[in-house]
Amino acid sequence: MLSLLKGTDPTKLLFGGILLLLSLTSVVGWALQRMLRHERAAEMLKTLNARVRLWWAMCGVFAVAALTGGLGSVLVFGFTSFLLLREFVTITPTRKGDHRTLFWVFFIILPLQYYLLWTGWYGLFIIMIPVYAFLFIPLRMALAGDAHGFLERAAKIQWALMICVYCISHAPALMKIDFEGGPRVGLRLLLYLCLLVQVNDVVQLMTARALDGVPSRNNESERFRAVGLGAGLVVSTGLGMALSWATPFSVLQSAAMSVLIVLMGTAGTLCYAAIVQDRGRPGVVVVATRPSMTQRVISLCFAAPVFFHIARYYFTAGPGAPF
Amino acid sequence: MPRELRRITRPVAAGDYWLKSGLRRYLVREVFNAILVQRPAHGGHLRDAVKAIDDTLAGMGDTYSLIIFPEGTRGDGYEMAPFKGGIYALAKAKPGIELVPVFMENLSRILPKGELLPVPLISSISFGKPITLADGEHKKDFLGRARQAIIDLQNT
Repeated sequence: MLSLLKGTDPTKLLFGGILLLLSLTSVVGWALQRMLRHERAAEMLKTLNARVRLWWAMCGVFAVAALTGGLGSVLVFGFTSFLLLREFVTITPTRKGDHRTLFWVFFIILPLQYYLLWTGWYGLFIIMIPVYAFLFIPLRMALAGDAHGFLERAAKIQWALMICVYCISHAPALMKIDFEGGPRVGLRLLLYLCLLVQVNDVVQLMTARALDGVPSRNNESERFRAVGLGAGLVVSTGLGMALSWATPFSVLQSAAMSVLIVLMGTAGTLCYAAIVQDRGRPGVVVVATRPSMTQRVISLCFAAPVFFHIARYYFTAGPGAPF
Repeated sequence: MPRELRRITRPVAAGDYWLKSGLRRYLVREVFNAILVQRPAHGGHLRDAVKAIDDTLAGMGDTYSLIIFPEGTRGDGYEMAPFKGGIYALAKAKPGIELVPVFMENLSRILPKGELLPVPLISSISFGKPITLADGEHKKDFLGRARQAIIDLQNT
């Protein structure tokens, strides 16, 4: 079987493998939902099936991105950023004085970040939001003349921009890195990153659901977290090691990268939980229309920049590469 | 809104504002299908205003529904302004008419009053239980009750 697959384009192999896995999960999830009547199991399946649907959508997005080359992925991720930012700002209270600042954030800074990605201007891509937007936002707010809660408001907008635009733009930026082995390596790393982040999310969620209602004397949420993290680490690292052929990493390096992705993804989930705890469930507004997008993508937002930097630092073709 | 409902749902708007320019005229007549009231305080004739209200009353609740903004203008997004007397007058002239409280969330964040460019946030709209004017209810009580109904929607 393996010798048969030798010589096949690894990108196609990876993509085909994901599609196969996804079809399998879809069928099994659908069948189980019909068969199982147990309440907790049904709850778990609902979670799983929702995630699987999300993954189908993501695969579609990746296929488009891969087929259209750089521009397609820039547009797709740019639009994702836009939707994410829209949701995030909706659940974060802003004031009337922030209106024009927000207009800049949505329609100038966000497109600019993806334009820089598209043109491959790495230097500005990496500092535009953390430095220039960071300085510009409070300035624009000061000009608007509303000083009420000034620092908090500036921090909220900057945070939204960092998470929803800056961090997530590092995922498609993987495709811009000049790896040995051609541009396809970046695409495979993007798939690898998203797959591991998602698998870790699902495993942790399912573990939490499975343990839900099991009595315990200790602090429950902490125990769930530890067990979930353990399960996520085992499954994702196993998967990461099994996928090392698709990456520039050795099996051991791939294991280390998987651990990194799991830890960063979990960090994102924890921060999101803290935001929800503080702000309450993400407004009636968001929940009434669709499940929270931030919740599903925040682990990727946290994992992408770190993964990007390590991949770029240790595995590129050498100095002089534009990205 | 579905087509059939759109045809019978009409907002009430200020004629003195909406008839000022060509684009506004087009929007308010062809798109919003609004009922226009020339406000006397803004240069309209009292007679025209009374006629508009009579026309409004004629079909209200029977052939079409009205969208009324009881604050009379767009708020600052922080606190709801006190309600104008129009809804009381209408409810009194048309006994038994149902007033449905509607709260639109986030609109003032998407496009605050006086701004030209909107910001793309998510908005929502919630509807409450219809209220009717009780027998012998005073204007102030009724307006307060109507306003409270919307505040309640805001807090759910």
